[in-house]
Amino acid sequence: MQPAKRILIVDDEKFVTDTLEGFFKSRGYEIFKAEDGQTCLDIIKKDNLDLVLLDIKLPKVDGIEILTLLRRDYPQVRVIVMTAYDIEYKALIDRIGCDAFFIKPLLIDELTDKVVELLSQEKVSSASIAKPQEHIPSGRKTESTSLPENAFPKARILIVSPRDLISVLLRDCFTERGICNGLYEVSKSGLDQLDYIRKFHPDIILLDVVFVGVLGEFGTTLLKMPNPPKEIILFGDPAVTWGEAESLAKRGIKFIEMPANLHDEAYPVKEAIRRLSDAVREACIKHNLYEEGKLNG
Amino acid sequence: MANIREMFHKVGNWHNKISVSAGVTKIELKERFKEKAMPAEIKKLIEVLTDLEKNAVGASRSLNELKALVYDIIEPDSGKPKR
Repeated sequence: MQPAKRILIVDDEKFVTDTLEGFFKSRGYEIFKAEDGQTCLDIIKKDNLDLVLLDIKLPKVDGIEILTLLRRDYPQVRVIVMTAYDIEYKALIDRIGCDAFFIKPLLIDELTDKVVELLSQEKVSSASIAKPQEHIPSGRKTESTSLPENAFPKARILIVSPRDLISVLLRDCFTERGICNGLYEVSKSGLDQLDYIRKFHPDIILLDVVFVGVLGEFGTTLLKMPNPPKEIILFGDPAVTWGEAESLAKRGIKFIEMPANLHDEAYPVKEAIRRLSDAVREACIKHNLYEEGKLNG
Repeated sequence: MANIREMFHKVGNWHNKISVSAGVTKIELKERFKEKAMPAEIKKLIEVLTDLEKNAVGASRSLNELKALVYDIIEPDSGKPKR
């Protein structure tokens, strides 16, 4: 007999956690409850959970912080976000990532279906995630050119472009098409870059070539940071700064052409995104940024 | 007294409590009384609970519209009008 799946229900309303506890318990799940963020964190660290039903507005530690921690340190745990704060938080939650998003008031039929669906999917154990890095000393590059079987790229990616549409297009493409199951941040001004990097610690930076002029100083600053990115990939219109980009390419920085005009038939944007995603995939292989199991989304 | 943001949060929580409790009760009833053996009054009760769930969702939608209008002119944490 399989052990019962373990669900943590997090909501600041005791009535809701109690009601859902009774409901899911009667369906054979093992239930944990938290009415504040700190209790939630304690349970996450102590108990080996399968799924978290997470409210966002919580006392002590808020749900956004908990979601970020879950995605970073417990990627094998499924997370269903349930919040009334759809307008304020939806974009942020999308960026951090979750397995499902429910707007309150909750419809129990839909919630139950999603819980059953997520818990019937294959779970990636934390041991299997840590495995690839255990065998490769840090700093040493692997010579493999493809991902291991059942593995998919996973990285923290920062997209830096002054063009909102490009940033959104890239982020959506990586997220929705499942090219890379990572965490994404978008920074749109050159001045924002360093702040974002300090906060987000990206593995890979996709940098619009319009910022290439600042890359000299930017690159030096990056190298001095405690957690410099593992890879920088430039993209943009070659007509603008090809000379500089070429010299950067000689220094090992990859450059992917991306049309300034998204309807330019000479440089179809789809093709540019495909090449950019290939470059991300290669960087993930090179730096062992992958995870075993099924790709979300 | 709670500020405007907290008040909206509270009302939203009430809607959620109504929806969750109606939904859970509805499913429990459906499971206890299988379709064929379900008495007419239980069928009616399930319909009422389904309506209650829908009404809670409708009320919440209106609340969100109201919230957007209020937040537009009043700063929700301080309660002061926006300039």
